[in-house]
Amino acid sequence: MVWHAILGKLLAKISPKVSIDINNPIIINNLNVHITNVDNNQDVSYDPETKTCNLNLKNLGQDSKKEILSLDLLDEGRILLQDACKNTIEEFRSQEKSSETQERLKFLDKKIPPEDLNIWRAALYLKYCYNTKELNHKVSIIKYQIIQKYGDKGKNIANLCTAGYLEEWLIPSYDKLKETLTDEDLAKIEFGKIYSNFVNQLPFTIFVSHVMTRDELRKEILRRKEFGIAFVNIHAIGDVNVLKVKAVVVDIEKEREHCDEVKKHHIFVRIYFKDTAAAKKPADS
Amino acid sequence: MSKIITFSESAKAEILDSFNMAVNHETGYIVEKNNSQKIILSPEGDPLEFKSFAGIKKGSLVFVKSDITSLINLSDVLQQ
Repeated sequence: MVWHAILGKLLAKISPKVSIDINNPIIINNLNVHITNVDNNQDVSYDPETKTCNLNLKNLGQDSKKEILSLDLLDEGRILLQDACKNTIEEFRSQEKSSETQERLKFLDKKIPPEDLNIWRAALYLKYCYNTKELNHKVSIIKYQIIQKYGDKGKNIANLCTAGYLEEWLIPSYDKLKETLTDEDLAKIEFGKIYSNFVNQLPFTIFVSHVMTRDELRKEILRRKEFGIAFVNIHAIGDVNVLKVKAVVVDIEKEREHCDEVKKHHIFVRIYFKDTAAAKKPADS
Repeated sequence: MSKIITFSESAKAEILDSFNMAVNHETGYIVEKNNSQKIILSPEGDPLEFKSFAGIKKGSLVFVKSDITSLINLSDVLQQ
């Protein structure tokens, strides 16, 4: 029996009560199906508001359960998906459809290695969750998943994206290259080199994590100095990390000029190196 | 009918059981019911843990992982 028919049979049991016309193709085409396994007294129910048919495995007979959870369910391109994952896909799609995200993806397309594009797509969704109060609870798990999948490069891109480096540094850098080199292909090649160094080495950026010690932070700052760059930006979120940054900045005070922006739970510090090749006045950087 | 049939966390184990899968309670990985050594892989080739199980689609049987990269890939496939 095809799956539609199996579902129709179950819906027929409740159709007089909920006035659902199971022979109406419009109703059936717009029907959502949700499967649960909970203790209540219902086996099949219908929510007209969400047009959802709820099937409770706990109260369905063995035969009905076997018919519902059969390979037929996966015919005609249907998939079984956990409700929370469906919500994530819907949020992701809606975020990705926004003109802002489309603009950023259009910029990245064909300028970065193709394998990096999905990391940025995930990172842009991470940033959206970070900036959306109701989705804040997802930030740490999504960041963890990006790092699990893509390692250090994933971590760097997630941090850079959330801190706004795409809009504030990568896009302006490319525009400047295009303006200077006048040849778009050449600009893309040069940008590719800058991009690769930027996301792999984080040459002028440090993101302080909870596992980074003060000593490691100090070493990271001095490592950036060896690159010959003019300054390093330090980002930290959370009271413990903010204190860590403050302590290290005080420690190396003699070697630097710095400006900082301290908010309640995060800190941004830019340390200017006085004696590197690229050292410039703050206004020039 | 919507192409996506959803299920709640409460139905996860029953669904896996119906598709002849089980959970190795020592490792947390999803395995074949008749061969507990055979760990199920996601389309991305990652061993699939019960807690990361997101769903099933055909082809022949594809078990989807719930991490963001897998969901982006699934979203792309569903839009094709």
